[in-house]
Amino acid sequence: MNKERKKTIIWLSASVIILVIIFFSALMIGRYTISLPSFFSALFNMSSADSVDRSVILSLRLPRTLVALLVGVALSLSGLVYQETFQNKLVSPDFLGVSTGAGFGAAIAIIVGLTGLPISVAAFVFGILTMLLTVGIAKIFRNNSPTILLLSGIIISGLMSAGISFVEFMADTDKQLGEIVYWLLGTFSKATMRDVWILLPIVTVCSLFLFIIRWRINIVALGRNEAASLGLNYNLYRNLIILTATLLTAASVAYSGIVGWIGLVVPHMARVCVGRDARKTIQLTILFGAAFAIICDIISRTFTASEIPLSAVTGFLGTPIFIGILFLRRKTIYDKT
Amino acid sequence: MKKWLCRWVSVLLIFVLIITVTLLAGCAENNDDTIEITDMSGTVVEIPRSPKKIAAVSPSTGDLMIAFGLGELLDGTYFSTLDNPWATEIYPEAKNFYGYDYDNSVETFIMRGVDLIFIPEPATAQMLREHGLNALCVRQFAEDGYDDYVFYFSEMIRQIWGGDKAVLEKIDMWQSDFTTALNTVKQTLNAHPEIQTQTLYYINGEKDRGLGYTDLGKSLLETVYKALKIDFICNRFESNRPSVEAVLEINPDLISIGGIYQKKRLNELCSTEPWNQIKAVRENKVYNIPVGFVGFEQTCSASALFIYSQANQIYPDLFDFDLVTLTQECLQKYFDYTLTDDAAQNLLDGYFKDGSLMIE
Repeated sequence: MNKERKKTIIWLSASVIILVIIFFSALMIGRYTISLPSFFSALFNMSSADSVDRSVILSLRLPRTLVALLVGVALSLSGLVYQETFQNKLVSPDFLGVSTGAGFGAAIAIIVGLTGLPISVAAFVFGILTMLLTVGIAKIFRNNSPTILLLSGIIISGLMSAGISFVEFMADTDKQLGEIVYWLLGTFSKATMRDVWILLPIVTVCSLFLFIIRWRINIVALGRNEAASLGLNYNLYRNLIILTATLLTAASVAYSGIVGWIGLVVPHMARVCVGRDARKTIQLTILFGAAFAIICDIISRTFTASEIPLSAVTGFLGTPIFIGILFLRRKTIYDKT
Repeated sequence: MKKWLCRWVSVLLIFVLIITVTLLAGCAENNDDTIEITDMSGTVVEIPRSPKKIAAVSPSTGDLMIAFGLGELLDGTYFSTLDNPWATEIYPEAKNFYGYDYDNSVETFIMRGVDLIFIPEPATAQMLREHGLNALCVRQFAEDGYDDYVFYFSEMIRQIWGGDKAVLEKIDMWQSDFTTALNTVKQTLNAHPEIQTQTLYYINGEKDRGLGYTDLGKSLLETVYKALKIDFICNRFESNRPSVEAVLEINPDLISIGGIYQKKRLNELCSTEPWNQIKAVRENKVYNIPVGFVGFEQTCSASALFIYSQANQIYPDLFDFDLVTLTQECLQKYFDYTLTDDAAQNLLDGYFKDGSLMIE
């Protein structure tokens, strides 16, 4: 076993163990205090467990922790493949306008009086439509360069932001505006097991697909000419990767609102550990993303009586981590890897 | 030459004197038309005496204006007040009210041609004043506790419309009703030192914002519950949107639900985990707060009834106020509205007059 492979296995094993610990900690930690014996009693000895503890763990914390896990996986994975595909390490899942488009869809759904699942459906549909609009705008330029697609994404993202502002202006300040703002800031507080059952197949299928084509992602990341010289259908795989990442982003934004930083920071964390090779970073990005999102959720709901918006937590956590990564990589800045 | 100059200077001085006296007289006359009021933010504001067109941009100020006999001066009130079917039932003229919002533009108020604006946010009141409008801040809470502010708005009205005897009588009656109610429950409870303080969580159902929407205290709710020997836990939260875990951490003994969405909130409370695991829900100690023109828990014509209704529900062994009669008398007195026994009972139970929900 070579040194690099050994290093990857160690990182993966450690990450799995850490994720499991963080997952169970999330079920135990919160504003409402549950002692360790009560926690185990609630989980494994249903009959003698305190009904409040059991209800808090199973009805409240379990669904939101699972949704946090799935959203963390989805956003970090889509961030990774966007960064590789666009050959730009500053790209995040928001860049093609998917997040703002989903936010616009959710805001419209709220203003027309929809609640619950239909808001998520509207967010998902608008997220996908926005991506199609971005691709459509890029096509006008008859240029397949990733830069044109990114610029189109920025343009459409700006348009969707304007749409959100307009919907906020139109919203009933008393009944709807607060809900729109709260949704846009991101939260897992409304998560239920139904959301888990909807998100789970989408995230699983998309993640599996990206995992299966992971070596092709490496080739796509080399650029059109190199990919063609290696015999890969660049356009097909690039479009498939973008579509899958968009599905992941739209699905997660639909259930958690707009959550920044995860898709940008987590792939960099994985690269610091195992290098740039997508065959290794994918697994680690999945594990790190899940753990990062769960930690953010714990912070958002534990320290204050009201929940801190997720975007604020990811921002406060993501900034020092990103600075730390840049500091660690200041000499190599990815060129060697 | 000197004589000629002296004569002209004298004429000029007399002329200046006449103008000055005239101007001062004019100013004195103007002062008679205005009055200085210190609003709830502590700002001294000069407003016209007996203004004719009022924007009462909060449910509470709208209710009390009508109760004190000044309803015909109202141009409008806070828009969601009109979502409550009781508002237009009790005071049909409310149908013609303009629905104001907290963030209406200056031009909206100018367009409406109002003489005076009562608005809760001090910054908005200041901004309106900077644009030449007469705006007074009237809030539902006070930084240093609400106990001394319950009568603040009614005293403001006394100053502004002090010339109207009927208004003054209504103000005195309302203040006396509230003081009597508060003292009655305090005295009774003081006679029972064995009563343990219980914790209470309040759900604000005035807006459709879920179970985690409450009041931060330093308000009438805290004043009244304190008199009822209740520990109002909502004042421990940093914001009025506490999470279920924050509420569960305290696990209150009692829960009260107010507002037009109270039945929806009650169903949610009983059917949603882990809310339904809260001690108050498990022990069936969830109480409603009746809604009249506005919710009784606001500083309003029915504030005395709020005290009586909560006392009856929390201490059924100690209090048995005839709430149906008291409610009928209150609405007759302040709104000239006659309520049947059944309709009064429905109002007290948190329904509309025919027993239907106030809002779907």
